[in-house]
Amino acid sequence: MTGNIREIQVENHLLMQEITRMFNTNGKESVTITVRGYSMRPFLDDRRDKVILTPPRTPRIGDVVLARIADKRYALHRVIKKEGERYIMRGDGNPLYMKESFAEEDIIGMAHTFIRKGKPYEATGLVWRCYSFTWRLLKPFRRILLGIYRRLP
Amino acid sequence: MKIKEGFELQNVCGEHIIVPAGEDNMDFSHIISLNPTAAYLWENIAGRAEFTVEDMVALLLEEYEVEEDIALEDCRLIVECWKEMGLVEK
Repeated sequence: MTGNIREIQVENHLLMQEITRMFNTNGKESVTITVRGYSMRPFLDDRRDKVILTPPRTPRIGDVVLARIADKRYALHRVIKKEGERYIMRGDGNPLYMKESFAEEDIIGMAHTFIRKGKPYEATGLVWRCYSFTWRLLKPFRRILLGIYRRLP
Repeated sequence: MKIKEGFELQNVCGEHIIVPAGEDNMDFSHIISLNPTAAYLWENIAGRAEFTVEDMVALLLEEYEVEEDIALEDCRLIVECWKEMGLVEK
């Protein structure tokens, strides 16, 4: 019986419900979560980084959005286009053939700030916008660059 | 001592989580969770203007079958943890 600090792993869909509840019922303006997975490399990495989310709104192309992409499946990826009423997104670190689709009501939150290695970068800030621009330009070389990134110490 | 104002004990994802009520941001990457025993203690002392470790021991003995000296040790430990996390003030 102690109050020791430990890491709690909760099922994703439960956490998503809680995020929504924090926005809607608890009136929180933002929610911070730890990044899981490698799909937003090279900027964001598994467990090292965090993202501050704000409540859902209509996404614009280029926004990073946490959304439900299938039953109990969620992703925090970049919106790349709109097809009819649905949005298409892809992880920066994912191969080009991988993409997910979601509707506006599937959005859990909008990435407002990225905390990379403990340092915050706002989504509207210069660093993030420059990174996004560069990463888009480098699209043809993405596979090679990510391959190199994976091999970095 | 007393529990600082602005902390709410909530059930989040089946865990007893301390939610800072006054904060605009909810940080899920850094949450304080209580086990059921600690949550029981919290619930019973959070509203009080003042509590002591002895009050906590009394609460434990009321609810759990535990030796008094062990209860005392556990309660001291919990209070230390809560102090460290900034949940308790003098």
